[in-house]
Amino acid sequence: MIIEAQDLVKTYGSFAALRGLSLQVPAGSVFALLGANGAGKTTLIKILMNIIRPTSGRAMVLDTDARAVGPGLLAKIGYVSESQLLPGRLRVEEFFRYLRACYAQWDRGAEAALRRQLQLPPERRIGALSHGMRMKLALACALPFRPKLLVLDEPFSGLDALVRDELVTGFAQRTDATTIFLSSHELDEVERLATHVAFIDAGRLLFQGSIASLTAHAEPLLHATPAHDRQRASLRDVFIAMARGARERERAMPG
Amino acid sequence: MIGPIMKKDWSLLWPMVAFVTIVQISLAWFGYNSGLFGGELAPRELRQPLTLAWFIGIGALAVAVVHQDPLPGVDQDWLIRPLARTDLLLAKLLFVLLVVFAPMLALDSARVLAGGFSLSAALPALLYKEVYFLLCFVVPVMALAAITATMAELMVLGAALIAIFATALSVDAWLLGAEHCPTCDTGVSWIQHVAQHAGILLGAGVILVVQYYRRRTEAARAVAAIGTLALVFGQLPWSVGFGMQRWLSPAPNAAAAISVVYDAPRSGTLQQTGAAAAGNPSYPARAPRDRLGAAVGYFERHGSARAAPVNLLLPVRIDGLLPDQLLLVDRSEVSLLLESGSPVYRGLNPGPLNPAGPVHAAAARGDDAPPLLQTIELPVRVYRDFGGKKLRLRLDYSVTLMKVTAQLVMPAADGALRSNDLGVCATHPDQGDSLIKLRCQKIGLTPFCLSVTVRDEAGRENPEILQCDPDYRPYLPTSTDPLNQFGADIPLRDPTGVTHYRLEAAQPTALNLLIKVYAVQEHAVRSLVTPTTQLGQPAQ
Repeated sequence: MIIEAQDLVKTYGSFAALRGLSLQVPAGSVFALLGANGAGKTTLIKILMNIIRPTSGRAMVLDTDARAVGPGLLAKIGYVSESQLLPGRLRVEEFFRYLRACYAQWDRGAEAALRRQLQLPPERRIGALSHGMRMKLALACALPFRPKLLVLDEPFSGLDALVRDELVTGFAQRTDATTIFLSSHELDEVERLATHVAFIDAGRLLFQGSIASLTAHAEPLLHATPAHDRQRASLRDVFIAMARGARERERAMPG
Repeated sequence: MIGPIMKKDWSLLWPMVAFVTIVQISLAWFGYNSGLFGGELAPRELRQPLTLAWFIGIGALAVAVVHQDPLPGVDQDWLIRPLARTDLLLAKLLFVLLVVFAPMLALDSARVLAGGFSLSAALPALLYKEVYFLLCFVVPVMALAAITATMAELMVLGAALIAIFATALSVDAWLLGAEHCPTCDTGVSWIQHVAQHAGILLGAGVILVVQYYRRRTEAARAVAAIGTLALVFGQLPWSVGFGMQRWLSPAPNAAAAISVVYDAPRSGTLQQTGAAAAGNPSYPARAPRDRLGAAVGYFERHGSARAAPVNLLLPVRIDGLLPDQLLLVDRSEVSLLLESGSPVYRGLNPGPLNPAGPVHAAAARGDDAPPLLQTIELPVRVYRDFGGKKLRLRLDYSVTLMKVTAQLVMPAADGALRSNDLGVCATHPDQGDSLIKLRCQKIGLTPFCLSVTVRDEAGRENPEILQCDPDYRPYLPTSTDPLNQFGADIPLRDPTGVTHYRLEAAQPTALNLLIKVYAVQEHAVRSLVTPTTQLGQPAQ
């Protein structure tokens, strides 16, 4: 497993962002972590990246305890987040120059290809780039060192349809063995990409498995859907049905 | 990874670095250009705002370099890059060393050479200044920057810490009076300052370690707030501070012959006065306090500890002083004792020994000098309770014995002198020859006590001018200028005609200055106890 989380709990005062979450991400997969806003996706990712510490539980990333994720491991992990604060006053070219020195495995050919493909303006200051261009830049900075694990936190958020399509196509066409761990509530794009999926709601895991196993798992949940439509049920339908079921069960619990 | 981080910071901050460097060059240039006597008005006036810009510029640069990779928060780009925390911290420190302190050392070296001093002799002092400003200014500023993410956040945090500091200081002064800071405004205050600087450095170190290796911003901010309170309430007791100073005395037992004794008054009771003690006109008053000092002084005077004190004058005599010695009274404490010897009151006595200033051998003996009168300030409630009773009064003095270590003579008009004791000195008549200005600059420790006497070739003299501002510190840099400046203004005649001097008709070119440099021999404690007496007649 590339990522393995066991009984992760993270609380902020009386608010529990994660409530005993366990997860396994197989090597080589495109693993989509799905959930509504505030479900705990970003909290889980920050724990995996050792940016925040869990209240309890344990997570392993590339066979290393997440609490020990440091420079050695970060050199093997690419990370893109919609909230990532890139150094706004640096120019695009200066930022690439800085990152080249950070990663021993940096591939300048891959960098050049990505910059061409994503049409990043080298002399523009990062702060002057649009949101979409910043996301493209973050992506272009997360790939040239050939990471073993690519973590994408809401990579499609706020992007227009064309950019989303470019990104999805780019990931879908990948030829290396990079594992992609992707969090999103943009289900249409995820559906085109993911080989594995996990649903979380209010800090709890509702389901995890391959896309193929999801259909079988979802069958009883889609009882309200006509039988001939169940085969064509989208990820969105399945997720909504699971989330509603979980919330009803929670409401029905005594206390 | 230190190099790439520094290069990245350089590409973002070089305009700020250029500004700080221009300020440093300007300050060095104006310092050199103003010479010993201040030079032209415009450069002289510019030095103060430039000094302020120097501090603000260096502080802002230290903050900015930390804020390029801020510590609080979870979305910073550096958190997901393969950067070792130690590399990040070292890159920030090295950046400041390279862009601030390396130019500072070069400019200071040039300034020293232009001032006619040897660079090899000055180098330890220059390096010491660099280390001092790095550890006592830049590192604490970087620590504050490490617990904030933006300049605006830092300003809010700074304002909060200043508010905590000022409130705590005012409350402390109101409750304890002058005792809220036993060593303040004394020659021993440097020990308190060194302890405070060490505490600030320790706190800054803790904050930097907590932030760079644990990123626990709330805990680090708590350290900053607790440290601010500790600065106010963590005061060195006088007995400890002066005890350390006594231990550092260069000539132990030099004051063995000195005693302070009660000089019995003719009347049965002590003289009571509400007026401030008269000063010695030849002895300059201490420099006025800054605004914060004035505010704290208000609380000291109007707080619960010393509301409306009653002043008594006690005649005293000091025996055993040699002609080339001076005695400084650093502090006195007063006790009221019953006839049985048991104390009914003990406290700090803020009242001065009059005439103000160091005590000469002549004044101590009463020869050609007004008698020594010790002002005793008692809280009004103590005076009301015990003023009418027969009591003994005990005074415990902390004193410093000074001795002339060098005597130098130089022309009073446009004279020049170079010596190990004073550095480079020059004289210049001013204000229509009614005043002689003596100005010196020296690298390292400067004398805090010197006397100057104007005399002619026939040996006639004006009264000696004594300039003593007790400061027993070893060398600690206090200025942005590597050359420490000091001096005295010596009156030659009074243009208003009120005061007359023996040599007021002489031309400055016909006069010399005799400069005596005093140095500490020993710090000592002495006590006196009066016979049983009545303090006064308090109103019932």
